[in-house]
Amino acid sequence: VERGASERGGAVGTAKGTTVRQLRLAAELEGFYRQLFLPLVRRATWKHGLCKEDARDVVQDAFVLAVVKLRAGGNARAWLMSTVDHLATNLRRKGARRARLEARWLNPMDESEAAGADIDPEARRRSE
Amino acid sequence: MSTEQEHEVVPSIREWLAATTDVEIPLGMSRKEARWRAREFLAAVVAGTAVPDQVEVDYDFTDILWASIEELNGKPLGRQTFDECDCFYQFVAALSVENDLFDERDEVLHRAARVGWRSAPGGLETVLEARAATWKHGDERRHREVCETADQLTERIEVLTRQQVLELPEIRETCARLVKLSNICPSMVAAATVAMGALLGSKDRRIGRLDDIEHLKGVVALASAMAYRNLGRWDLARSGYARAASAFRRTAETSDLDRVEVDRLAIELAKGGCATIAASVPALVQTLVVPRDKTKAQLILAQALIDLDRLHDAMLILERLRQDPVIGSEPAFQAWLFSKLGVVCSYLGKDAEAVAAFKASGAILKRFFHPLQLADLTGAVGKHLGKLGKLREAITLYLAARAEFQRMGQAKFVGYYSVLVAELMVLLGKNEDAEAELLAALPLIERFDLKREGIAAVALLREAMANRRTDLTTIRQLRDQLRKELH
Repeated sequence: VERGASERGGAVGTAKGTTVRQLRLAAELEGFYRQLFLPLVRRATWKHGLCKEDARDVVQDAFVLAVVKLRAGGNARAWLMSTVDHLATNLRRKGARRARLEARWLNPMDESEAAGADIDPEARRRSE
Repeated sequence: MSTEQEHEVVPSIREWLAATTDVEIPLGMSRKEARWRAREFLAAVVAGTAVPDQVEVDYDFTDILWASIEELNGKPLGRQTFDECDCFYQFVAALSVENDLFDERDEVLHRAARVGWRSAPGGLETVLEARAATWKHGDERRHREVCETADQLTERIEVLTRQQVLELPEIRETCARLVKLSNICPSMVAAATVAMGALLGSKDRRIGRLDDIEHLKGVVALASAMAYRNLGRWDLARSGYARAASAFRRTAETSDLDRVEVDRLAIELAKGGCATIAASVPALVQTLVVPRDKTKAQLILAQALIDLDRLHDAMLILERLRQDPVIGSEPAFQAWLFSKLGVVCSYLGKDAEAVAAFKASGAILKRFFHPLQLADLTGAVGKHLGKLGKLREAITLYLAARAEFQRMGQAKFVGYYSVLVAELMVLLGKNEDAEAELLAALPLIERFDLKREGIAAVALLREAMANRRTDLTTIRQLRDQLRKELH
C-alpha cells in the first residue's frame, strides 16, 4: 500500500511481473479500501471528532474484532458501524481522561477546563 | 468453541489486515485541508456557482461534505446560517452518489437539517413538534372527523395539485390523514399516496425548506406501505417501507425510522413469521425511541406469542401493557389489548375473564370508529364461541368479520375466515358448504401465501372427503393445488 485516495492513485500499487492472482487480490483490496475502509475512517473522523490517524487505528481494531466475532447471517455493515462507534467513543473518553490528568499535573489549580473535555461533541450539540 | 460460521466479509477483512500490516495506509484528505476546502465549497454553493450535476462525488469530496457540517455547525445561529444550511442541503440532496454503502450522504443531510433548523427562528423543537402532529393518535373527535370525511381525500389532493403555491401545513394535514386512514380504507389510501407522491416529486414547485420535503415523502411512503400491507400486497408494502426509511434517514429527527421498523413487523406477523418476531422484538424494543412504537411492537409480539401457543408469555406482556400510558391514551391500542387479552383468556379456559375483556374492547370500539379492530374483535369472539361449542353463533360472527374485512379490501383475512367457517361447517356436518367455502378461499390462500391456512384447508378437505365420499376428483384437484403451493 503506497499511495491512496482518489487523486493519489488508490490504495494498492502494482508492479511488473505480478500474477493474475496478485492482480485480483490488488483489485479486491482496492475495492475494500474504497468501499469499507475509507467510509469507516470518515465516520470515526467526522462523527466522533478523531484525527485521521486515530480513526484509522479504530477501524483497524474493528476489523480485528470482526475476524473473531462477525458471524454469518449478521448485518456486517451495521456491526462494523456500531463497533467503530464504540471504539471511537472509548478512544475519545481515554483521550479526555489523559488530558484531564495532564492538566491536573501541569496546573493543579485549574481543572475546570479539562473536566469539560470529557463531553462528546455530538452529545453537547444535541443538548444545545 | 463456537460452531457458527464466519461472515462472508471476514475473508476479505483477513486479507486486508494481512496486506496492511506494517504499511502506511493512505487516509485521504487531512482534517485541516478538508475544513479549508469546505469553506470554499460552501461559499460556491451559496453563491450558486457550484452545480450538483458537475460534481464528481469521490472520496475526497465526501470528506469535504463532512467538513462542511463542522463548518456550518460553528457558525452563529440565525437566518444567514439557516439559509446556508438550506442551500447546502438542497445541493447535497441533488448530487448523484454511487456506492454509498454506509449511507454517508443521508447522515450528512440529517446533520445539515439539524444545524439548519437549530438556526431557524423557532429552533429545531418547533419543527419537530409540527411534524409530530402527523403521528398523533387517540383524539376521538378528530379520528371520527377524519374517517367521516375520508371520501374527500382524493379531491383534497387534486386541489393541492392545482395550486401554484403549496402551503406546508396543508400538505402536512393531508399526509396525516393518509396515515390515519391507511388502516381504515387502505384501497383509497394506496391510490391517494400515488397522487401525493407525484405531487411531492414534482420539480415545478418548491415545498418547504431543508428536509421538509423528505419528511413528507417519508410520511406518504409509510402510509402507502401500511395501506398495501393491509391489502396483502407485500412487495408494494416493502417498497414503501424502503422509500420511507430512505427519506426519514435524511431528516433532522431519525426516530421516525422506528415507525417504519415496527410497522414492518406486521408483515412478518401476517406471513406467519411468529418465531422471528418472538426472537427479535425484545431486543428491538430496547432500541426504539418513540414510546408509541415500543407499545405497538409489544402488542405485535404478544400476538406472535399467541400464535406460537406461548399463552402465558403473551399474558405477561399484555398485563404489563395495561399499565402503559400509551395504551391509556390511545383507544385503538386499548381495544387491541383487550381483544388479545380476551383471546388468551379464552385459550386458557378463563371464560369469564375472556368475556369481560371482549366486552371492554367492544365498549371502546363502540365510541371509537375502527372497523379493522372491530372486525378483529368480532372474529375473536367467534373463536371463543366456537370453542364453547356454539358453532352456529360462531359461524355468524366469522361471516360478519369476513364481510367487514372484504369491505375494507383486506383479502387475506377473507381467506383466513373462510377456512375458519369451513372448519365449523365440517363439524356441523355441512360438508358441501365447507367445500364451497374452501374453493372460494383457495385463490386468496394462494395469492397471499397463507401457509397455515393452506395446511388447515388440506386437513379440512381430508375430513370432508372422509365424511362425504362423493366428488373425489374435485377434492383431489383442490388438495393437489394446495400441496403445490405449500411445498
